[in-house]
This record gives sequence, C-alpha cells and structure tokens, in this order.
Amino acid sequence: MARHAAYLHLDDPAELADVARELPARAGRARRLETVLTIDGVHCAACVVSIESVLRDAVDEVSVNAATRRARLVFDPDASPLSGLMERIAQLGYQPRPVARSAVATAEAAGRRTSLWRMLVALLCMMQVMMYAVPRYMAGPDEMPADVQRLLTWAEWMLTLPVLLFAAGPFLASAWRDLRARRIGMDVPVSLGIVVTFAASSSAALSGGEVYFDSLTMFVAFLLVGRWLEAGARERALVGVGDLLARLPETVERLDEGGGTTVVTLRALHAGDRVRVSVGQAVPADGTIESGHTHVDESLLTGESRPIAKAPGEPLSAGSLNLEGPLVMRLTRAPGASRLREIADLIESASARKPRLAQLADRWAGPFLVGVLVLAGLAWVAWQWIDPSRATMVAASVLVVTCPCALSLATPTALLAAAGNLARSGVLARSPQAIEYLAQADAFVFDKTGTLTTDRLVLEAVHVDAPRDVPEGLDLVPMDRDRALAVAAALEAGSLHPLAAALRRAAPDGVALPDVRSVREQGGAGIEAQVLLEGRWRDARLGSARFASRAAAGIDPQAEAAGVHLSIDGAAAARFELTETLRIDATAALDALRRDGASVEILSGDAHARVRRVAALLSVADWRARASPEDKLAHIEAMQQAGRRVAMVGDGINDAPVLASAHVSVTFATAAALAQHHADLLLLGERFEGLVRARRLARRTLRVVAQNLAFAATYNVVCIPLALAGLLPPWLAGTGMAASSLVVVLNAMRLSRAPGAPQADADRVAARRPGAAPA
Amino acid sequence: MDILYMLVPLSVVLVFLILAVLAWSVRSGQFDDVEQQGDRILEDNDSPGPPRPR
Repeated sequence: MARHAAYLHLDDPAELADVARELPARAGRARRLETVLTIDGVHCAACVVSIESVLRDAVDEVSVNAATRRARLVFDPDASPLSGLMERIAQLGYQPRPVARSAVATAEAAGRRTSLWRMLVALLCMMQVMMYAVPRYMAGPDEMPADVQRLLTWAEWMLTLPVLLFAAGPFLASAWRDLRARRIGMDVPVSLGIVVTFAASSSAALSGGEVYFDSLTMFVAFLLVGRWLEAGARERALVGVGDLLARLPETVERLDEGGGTTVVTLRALHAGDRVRVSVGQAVPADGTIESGHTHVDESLLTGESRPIAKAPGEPLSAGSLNLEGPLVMRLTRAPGASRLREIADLIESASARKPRLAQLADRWAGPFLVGVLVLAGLAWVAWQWIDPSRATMVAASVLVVTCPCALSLATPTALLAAAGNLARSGVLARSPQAIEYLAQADAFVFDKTGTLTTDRLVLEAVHVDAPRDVPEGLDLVPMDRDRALAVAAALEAGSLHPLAAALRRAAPDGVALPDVRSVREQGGAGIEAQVLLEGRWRDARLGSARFASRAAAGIDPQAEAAGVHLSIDGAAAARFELTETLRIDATAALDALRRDGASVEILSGDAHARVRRVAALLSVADWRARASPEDKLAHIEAMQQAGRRVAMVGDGINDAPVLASAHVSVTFATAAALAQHHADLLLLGERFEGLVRARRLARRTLRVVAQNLAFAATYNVVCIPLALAGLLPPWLAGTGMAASSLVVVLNAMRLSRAPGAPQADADRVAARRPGAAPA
Repeated sequence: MDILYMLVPLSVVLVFLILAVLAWSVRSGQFDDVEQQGDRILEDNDSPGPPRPR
C-alpha cells in the first residue's frame, strides 16, 4: 500500500529516536516508547473515541486530546511498529504526523495559512452575496422584473458555491468522515444545516421561491472566523516544544583541539565538545564551565528570573542565557539529551493527556448530538403545520445553533492554559488533572530533608576524640581537626550522599588528602575503607554512630547526637556535626499556604531533634519525626479517611509510594532526570514560590472551568428553544455558535496571563516575619 | 436597465478575480508574519538575508 510506505521510515531506529522517547522498562515487559502525534482532522469527542478504539489493542496507553489535536501513545516498537499505528489512524481518514521537532512548525504554519484563506473566501463572498440580496429585500411586490430577480438570485448562487465547496470544506469533510464511520460528530449537525439550506435555496431558485444564500454564506463565514480565533487562542495556550527549543542557537562556535574554532550546527555537537558561548547567547547544551565567570538567566528552565552567578566547574543547562562574560564550556550531554529537551518532552506528553473532566464532557457529547438531530427533525415536521415555508430554515437554525463544542472545550482549554502558565514559571504538571487536584488540596504535608531543607549541608563543629600525641609504642594515629577532616574528605571522595558533599567542601585548604583503597559504601549507614596514615593502611569507618561503633570503642551506638562519626582501627577518632540549610523561601511559602487556608505539617524520617529544629524555625506546630515510609503512608491514608485532601511535597525518587498515595504530589526536580520523578507536579527551580503560585492559579482554573461549563450549558438551554420557536434566523444561529465557543476559549485564556507579581508577594511575607530568617 | 445584465455577471467575475489575487498573496506567505517585518529595518545586518525564523 502506498500510504503504508509513507510511514515506514519511522521504524528506522534513528528516526524513531527523533520522534519517540524511551520510557523506563517495567519488570517482565518489553521496551516501551512514548510518542506524541499531531492528528489533523480531529475536531470533537467522536473522533477521539474512534481513534482511541482503533489503537487500543495495539498499544499500552493511548489518549487523544481534541483540544490540542495531539495523541499520546505508549507502545512496544517490536510488537507494533509505529508505521502500523500511523496507518491505522490514516485509514480512519485522519492525517497523523509525528511531532518531529522541526517539521511540526512548517506543517502548522501551512494549516494556519489554509484556514486563513478559507475565512477570507467566505467573508468576501458573504459581502458580495449580501449586495445582491439587498434589492430583493428592498423591492416591494412586483417592483422588480422577474428576470432581474432571477439574475440576482443566480449571481448569489454562483458566489455561494466557493463558500460551500471550499470554505465550508472542513465541516463537510469531517461530517462525511463521521457518517461513513457510522457515528455522529460535532460537525454533522452544522454540515447538515449547510447542505439543507443550500439544497432548499437552490430548488427555490429554480422554481422562483425564497432563497437563503445570504444566511448560508454569513453563518459559514462567522463559524470560520470563530474557529480561526479559537485556534489562535488555543495555540497560544500550548507552550509548544517549538517555543522552548527555539531559544537554542542554530549555530555554535566549537573549539578544536588545535586551538582554532569552527562554526557548526547544533546537531553536530557531541558530549565532550568544547564550545564558546558569547554574551547574549543561549547555552546550546548541558555542560560545565571551563573558563569564564558570568551570570546566567535560567528563567526558561526554572521560572527563576534572577540572574545566577556561575564560575568555572559549575554546571550550565541548555537554554539558559549568558548575560555577562564570554564562556568556554565542555558539553556533558549532546544537545538532543539536554534538560531543556526533557522539559519540552514532558510538556508535550502532558498536553496530550486528556483531563478527567473533559472525558466526562466527551461522553455526553454523543447523546447530545443525536438529541439535536432528533429535535431538528421534529421541528421541521411541526413547522409543516405552523408555516411550511419556514420549516426548513427553523430546522437549519436548530442544527447550527447547538454547540457541544463549548461544552467539550470548557475544561481542556482552561487546564491547558493554566499548565502553560505554570510551565513558564517553572512548575511542570505531569497531566492537566494535577492542576485540578492541587486546587482541591487542603492539607500540605512536607517531607523535611531535601524539601524544606536543601541537600546542601554545612559543617558546624568537629569533635576530635583520639589523642593528639600518641605515646611511644602504641600504634594509634595522632588526630587533630585538619587531619580528621582530610580523612573524612578522602573517604567521601566518590560518594554522592549530601553528607559527603558537605564533608568534601569542609576539607581544609593546603592539607593533602591521604590515600584510600578498597572503599565500600553501605547505603544508609556509612563508608568503610582503608586509609594510608602514618605509613600504614588502617581500617577506617565513617558514618552513623552505630556503623562507626561496630568494633570500635568509645562511641555509644545509641547516641542520637546528630553527626557523622569516624573511627580508625576500631577506636573513635572524631565526630562531625552538620546542619541543614533551610530552602531560601520556605518560611514565606508556608506562611502563604496557611494564609490561603491550607494546613501545613512536616512528616519526616529524620531524628526528632532535627525535625523539631526545622519545625520551630518554620513555626509549624504539627510535625512527626522518625516516620518510616510505612508510617508516612499510614499517616496520609489516615488523613484522607478523615476527609482531608492531602498534597504531599517530598522527594520524588525515594518517597515514590508515599507520593503516589497522596491526592496530589509535588517534588523538587532540580538534580535527577525529570522522567525519574514520580510526582504530579515538578518544581524546576530551587524555591517554593512556584508551589504557592501554582495553588492559587489552580484554584482560579477550577473557577474558570465552572464558569465555562455553566456558560455552555446556559447557552444551549436558552438558544435551542429560541431556534425551535423560529425566533433565531440561521445567520444569528451561526453567530451564536461561533461566539459561544469563542467565549469559552477566551475565558480560559485569561489563565495563561501571569497573575500580578508573585515575587513581591513572597517578599512582603518575608518582611513581615523578620525573626524567622532561614538558618 | 439592460446594463444590469452585463454588470451583475461582471461583478461576479470581479469577485473571483479578487479571490485569485488573495489566493496568491496568502500562498506566498504574506500574512504569516505581519508584526516582525516592521522591525526588520532596525536590525543591524545589512545583508538581505532569509526571513528570521520565528
């Protein structure tokens, strides 16, 4: 089949990697790929249902969103290749296109151009048809010769043809597709109205009766204007991949081994390349600075608009803007694997998921449309008795005026606009639903470590236990502050634990680190290794009191005293005290949440003393320490049984089950790959301000959804009886229908505007509480 | 009066002519970007390069 061949290239692994994303494999399952398709020709709920049902048996997950015309598929490329899936969609009469990063923009531009053109044709013809209709209306009986009247009528007919065949093409084509598939879509009543009006008017033109070409051209024009405005608004609501990735430079100055530079395209870059980033340029890929000091603007990635200082050795993310000085950086990842791309992928996949409320509206759209067709038929029959000459026009009005699109657009557009707004300020919603749930949450439970506090620890004190001067004959190591720190830093050299980073930072300058060998790290306990001290390899243990005291004297294993213990050759050597730093705007954020009416509590697995300290700093009365993951789970379930909607803010990697049990979960996703986080909302920045903003926006979103649903329902309830009573001429019906979906979309668009200065708000709160400055 | 028999068909032809001109202007992308072109004169590069990507 010719069409099949058109998609075959997508099965090529390299091509597939460009349009699909590998998901983490599940135990015992084959590979899973996620891809997002744009599907041309999707207008309504019925299309969505038929596409989903034709794919369901071949893929793991499928969801089609009529508002964005995007479909999200999760499939196994070995069992069901992408070309086959595309072919199934194509056979239904739609045109699927993979959201390949560059082709989309051109295809969307072409689509916009055609619809603009259809609108212009309809408007121009409408204008001219109106001119021919005026004399017919103005002339009294027998004032106009019959042949002039016929001339004007046929001139109208001529100009209605392009409107019917070209401008109204999308309506007719989609209705035809629906009818062939034996279902009723949103365009069926509209198209039926158009065709009936044209057929009745054409036969009237032949027999010399009343014609309605003016009404016909007018409502097609109004519908097209409505759709055009609506499409523009919808597009703006979507923060497309294009928007984000357009920020990356197209060409990059790469430094060669010899010292020269070559200008290469972004695609030609690989991990390990060194590139120059001049002032005002965006960083092309993730990497670290080799030379140069500067400030960068990371607002695209984190929503944080303040410039951030960067020095050699520090990481840079693709898409951040170099503000001050020229840099040389070494790429750690190819441009195709950057964090910016991860963010774009996540937004893309979230915008293709269908919110729960929209699914409800979609289920009702089908029966609603059948009802409309039946009503129109009944109206036609009834008007045969009342006034046969108006029966056709009344039936057409009923068909045109009803607008299930306002109902089914009400929710997804609002949630999408809100999600787009949030993404711009550094909060990613995994699905539109997360916004709905966040708005409902009335209790916020915070994990402490890594959430309320940053994972940056600072060394507070060192206690040296071992003797400073060792008597002759004893094989002990003399110990002092510098040496203890040097040993600790050497042991922790390869560890990723936050404690390790703090100890490494605390290593004294100018003191050589001792050699270590056979390092073994025990998760959750500590590190043991052999250290070369005083000319001999000695067993060293660094970690919790219990771990370090194993086979060591002088450390009380029960001591909860915060700290990391070091023992050498079984003897206590030193104790390091470390404290956490509070996240910079934790106080302000918790205050803002409380003022917004939510309750706040801390649920931590950490020791009592430390949790109490943080709770006191944040003036949180409700806190629980030493909670195991099972305790946390039980606590959240208990709260839920007490009728609370719990938002859990925690660590998206270790706390996954606890997060999953909460009503909505939030996590900071600053370090690890985004796909590894299991929360509904990801905070990309270092601050809480996004969460407070997100909750306020979410509550506004639910209000807008309620307004939209109420408006759409009221519109249909009021207008259908008016049309049945013959009080709405078809042109007014067309205007009403176009206006009703436009009102819904525009109302939702209010959410994509940023609300007034969130930062000023947080600052004001901080200023109100001078005593609670973060530690 | 008889002139109507010529003028009305002529106006129909005229409408189709206008549509043809519009078709050409839309096809050639003149309505794709109506805002940025005005700023082009303020840009530094003197070469009449390709239109800026959006």
